[in-house]
Amino acid sequence: METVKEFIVILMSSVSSCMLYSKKHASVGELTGKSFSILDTLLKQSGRFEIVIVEDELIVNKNPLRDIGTHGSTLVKRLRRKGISRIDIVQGITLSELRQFVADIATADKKPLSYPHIKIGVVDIAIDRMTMNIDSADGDFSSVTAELNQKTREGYLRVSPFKKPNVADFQELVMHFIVMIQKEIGILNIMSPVKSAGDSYYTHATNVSVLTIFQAKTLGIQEDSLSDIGLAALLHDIGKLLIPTDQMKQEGGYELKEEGIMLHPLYGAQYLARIDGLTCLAPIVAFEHHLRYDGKGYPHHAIPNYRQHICSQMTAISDYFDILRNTRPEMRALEVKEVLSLMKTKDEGLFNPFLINNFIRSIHLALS
Amino acid sequence: MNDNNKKIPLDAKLLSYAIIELNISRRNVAIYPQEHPSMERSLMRAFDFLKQLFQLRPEITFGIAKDTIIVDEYQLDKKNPVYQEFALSLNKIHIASVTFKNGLTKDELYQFNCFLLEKIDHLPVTKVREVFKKNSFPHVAVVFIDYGTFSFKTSTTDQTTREIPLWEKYVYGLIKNPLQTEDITDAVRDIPPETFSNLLNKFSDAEIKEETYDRVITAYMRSSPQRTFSGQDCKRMFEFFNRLKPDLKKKFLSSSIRTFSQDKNLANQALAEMPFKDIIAFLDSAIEQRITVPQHLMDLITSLVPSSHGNIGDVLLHETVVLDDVLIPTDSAELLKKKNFEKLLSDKYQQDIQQLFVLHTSDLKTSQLIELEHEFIDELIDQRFNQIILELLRSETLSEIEYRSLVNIMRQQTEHLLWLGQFGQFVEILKILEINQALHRFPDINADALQYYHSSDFLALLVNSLRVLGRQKRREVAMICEYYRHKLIPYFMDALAEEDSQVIRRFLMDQLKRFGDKLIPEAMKRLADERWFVKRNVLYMLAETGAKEVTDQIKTCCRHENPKVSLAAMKYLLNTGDNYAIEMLREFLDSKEKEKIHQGVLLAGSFRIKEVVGELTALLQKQEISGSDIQDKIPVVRALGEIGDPQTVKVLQALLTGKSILYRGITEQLREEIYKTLKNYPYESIRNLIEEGVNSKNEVIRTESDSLKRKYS
Ligand SMILES: [Fe+2]
Ligand SMILES: [Fe+2]
Repeated sequence: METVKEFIVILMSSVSSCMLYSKKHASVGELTGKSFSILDTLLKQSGRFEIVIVEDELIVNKNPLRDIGTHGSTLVKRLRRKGISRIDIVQGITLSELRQFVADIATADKKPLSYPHIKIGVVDIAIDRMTMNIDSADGDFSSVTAELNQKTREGYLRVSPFKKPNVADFQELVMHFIVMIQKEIGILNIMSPVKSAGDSYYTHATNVSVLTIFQAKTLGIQEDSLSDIGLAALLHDIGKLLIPTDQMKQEGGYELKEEGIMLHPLYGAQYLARIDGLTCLAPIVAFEHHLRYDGKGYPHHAIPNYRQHICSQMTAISDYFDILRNTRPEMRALEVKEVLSLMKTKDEGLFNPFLINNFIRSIHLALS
Repeated sequence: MNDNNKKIPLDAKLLSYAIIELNISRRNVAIYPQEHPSMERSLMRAFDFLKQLFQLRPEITFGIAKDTIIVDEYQLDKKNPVYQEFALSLNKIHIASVTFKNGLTKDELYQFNCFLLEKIDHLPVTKVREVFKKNSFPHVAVVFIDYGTFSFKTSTTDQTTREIPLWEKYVYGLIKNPLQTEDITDAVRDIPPETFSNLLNKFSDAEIKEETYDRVITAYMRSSPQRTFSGQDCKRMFEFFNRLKPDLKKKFLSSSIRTFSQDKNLANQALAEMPFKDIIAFLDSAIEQRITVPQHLMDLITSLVPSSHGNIGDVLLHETVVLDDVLIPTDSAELLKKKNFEKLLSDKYQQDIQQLFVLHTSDLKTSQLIELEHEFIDELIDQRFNQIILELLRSETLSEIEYRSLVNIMRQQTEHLLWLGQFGQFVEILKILEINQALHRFPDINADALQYYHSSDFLALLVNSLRVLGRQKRREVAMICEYYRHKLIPYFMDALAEEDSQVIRRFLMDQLKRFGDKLIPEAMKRLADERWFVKRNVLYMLAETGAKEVTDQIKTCCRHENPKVSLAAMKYLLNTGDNYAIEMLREFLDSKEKEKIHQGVLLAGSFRIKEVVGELTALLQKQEISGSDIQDKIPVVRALGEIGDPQTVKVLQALLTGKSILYRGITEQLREEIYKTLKNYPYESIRNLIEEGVNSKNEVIRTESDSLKRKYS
């Protein structure tokens, strides 16, 4: 079984290298070569090598492979995404067949072909889309958004440094957002106005999530990624709930300590990083959403030439937009166009110009 | 200072110094006014010690057991008369413990000293407490002993007074006679939570009466004119809960929920003071203990929670305004305040917007989109995730639990990193662990992780990945070798022993070479391996490193049946200049086996071994029987040419002048070879040959001679 694991590890590493670099990269060649020689040994032992996927388990030569680690679970994920349910490899396989197979797995939208010595079984994956009754005769979606906000709030209420949130709840919520955006309900209808100060946390989270999914959608980013993007955006400010109170308040008084709030990306990231089953985008966005496109911003870090992930760049735009659109006592309410104008013209280097242009155009289109 | 004193921690020590000074000033208070220099001096010193102390912890409590002062679990030196005097003076006025809190002023300390000197030692404890309360000391808390509330069995009272720490007596009284304990409010709140819970844990659930729970809880939460319920109290209450054994914890949690449900005002006030996360933790534990929380209390909590958090205001920070958590340049923020619509919606913006619409959405399906999508592949996300984890491991916001789990995440990711050839990130992990270790941050966790990274399973995996992918990342590999040093030798040796690819063998040897002499012992071990290729690889590697050690093991390898092994061994020995190698070489040259002789000739030439010139010339002088015999002499001529010993020349001469009728072609080739290999001989010895060669009919010989002649003229 050890050899089997080693084979999976190295095979997946070659797929990974193929995705990260290119299929011509030297590492891919080395790793595929190495996995080929392990496969050779395996085939000499048993004549054939069979991988079956049941749920998220890998069954190799009729034995379930336990503790498959990152590599195993990535393999399962990849194969399922391609609708592959089994792979049979028989003796006589050549290195070039294996190379082609690796390249096929690594290519996003390509279904692997069968080769003389690699047979591939495909199942039809029925994508069960979440549906929700969101049709409204008079175009008033306020009750729907209120319900979703309530859900966000419930999810958030369970957040504490001692307890992990229920990822599935948040995921379900994000699926609702996606469905609403897909139904092309005007984006600004989905966003909720802040009704009271106490609501601002949840409405902000919801709004940023919705706006970020909206951006991703207008950019044409694959459907597969939308739910991770929405989830990461939904949780971007979660660190605010986790800053120890002594860091938040000035000694003695109850005034806000700015250093305290500026720690929320760290608290958020470290909290989200530890949650199993949550997309890694979530801690990434929590960490990066206050970094700027020009590399400034907070939190301070020591990584040279660091650039935000595209998802954090989008979240930063949604974040800024929603914060400025909020009514606050000492300021007048801004029109959407004013907010956009401010975002576009006032602070160069804050946003990715490509993304901010797309955002402005899309919001305008949605408004018109 | 005695031993006992040396062992006590810094904070207790600072307190003990402060007490010495306090005792001096306590005496002085009676004599001098506050402004008097000697008064000022001791008070100042006491105050300074306490100030230093507050940098270590926000407050310190010391207990008084008759003539002994107890700080945390330490007793200050019992025999020191100063402590004794101070303790007794407090004991006389029924003080069980004193807490100094951060924020204490010099003046307050002076006033407290005055209080200690008031003539109140004849008064009962209730009166003393009143006097204390009249003076208000915001940063000094005092717990008084109320012996009346303890109803110990008479015979033990006197003896145990000194033995049983006071808190214990207090708690005992509380449990056994809850109704006798009148005013328990302050006392409960002053018992350090860990002490309180430890003491309570000694009792079983059945021993504690229902009302005791409620009284303790009310005591924790109720505000009195002297003090209000604060976040700090809350924290203490939770600390107290969390240290209780499960059955007691459940009882106390239920009691607190009951108290909250019954007293809406209290609940309102207490919950408003509590940090959000504490409320949630509180609810979580209640749910865990299966305690039902009444709906109206739930409603109250949900209504309170967001509002205590939603009002993160806007604060000014350097050149920017922080709006919630978003930084906005001051001038933009100004714009928000002005009723200045035009300025915001500038013409420029209108034009920009128009521009944006010229582009069609379909334009997006370009390289930019491919780039965007590329960012979402799992590998890149993982890579970034790892970078962030490493960054977090450096930050000071982590608790021990978080640090441990992040370290574990990195540990799980390591194999993945290695197989992707991301050796740089792996080096970063090691660096951070080592730095944190040096800083004594979570030493146990670091040690644990480092132990894993030094385990043999891991090192085998590491070297295995280096073997496959290391050639592309030589700089990072060098860093890894630098870090592990000779620990990696056996693993590299394992890899080398079985490696088929010459390119990878070369790479592995390059790595092993870094370790110099350190690898000899391990190499010698490997030389005993039965497999010929292992022997050969080790010999090659030894030769590469320039190791000079010669052992019998290597010598025997010279006679190994596999010529690849023997050749490698010979090469190694010749490199070291060992005499044995020359003997072996002679043996080779005298051998009956053609292959051996051939090897010997090549080695003699490439190492320019003068000692075997005799053997080589003998080979030249051998009677030729066939054409191939002449052919065999060509490498010998070359080897001798490398050595360039003048003794050889007469033999060469003989070969040149000898008549041969058979094999003319090959003989001519041999002669040409002689001329081609003359350049290492001393000029004097070959002058005649050159003169003759210049006039030779053979063109090759002529050209060679001409160029040699030119060289020497
Ligand atoms: Fe934020
Ligand atoms: Fe935000």
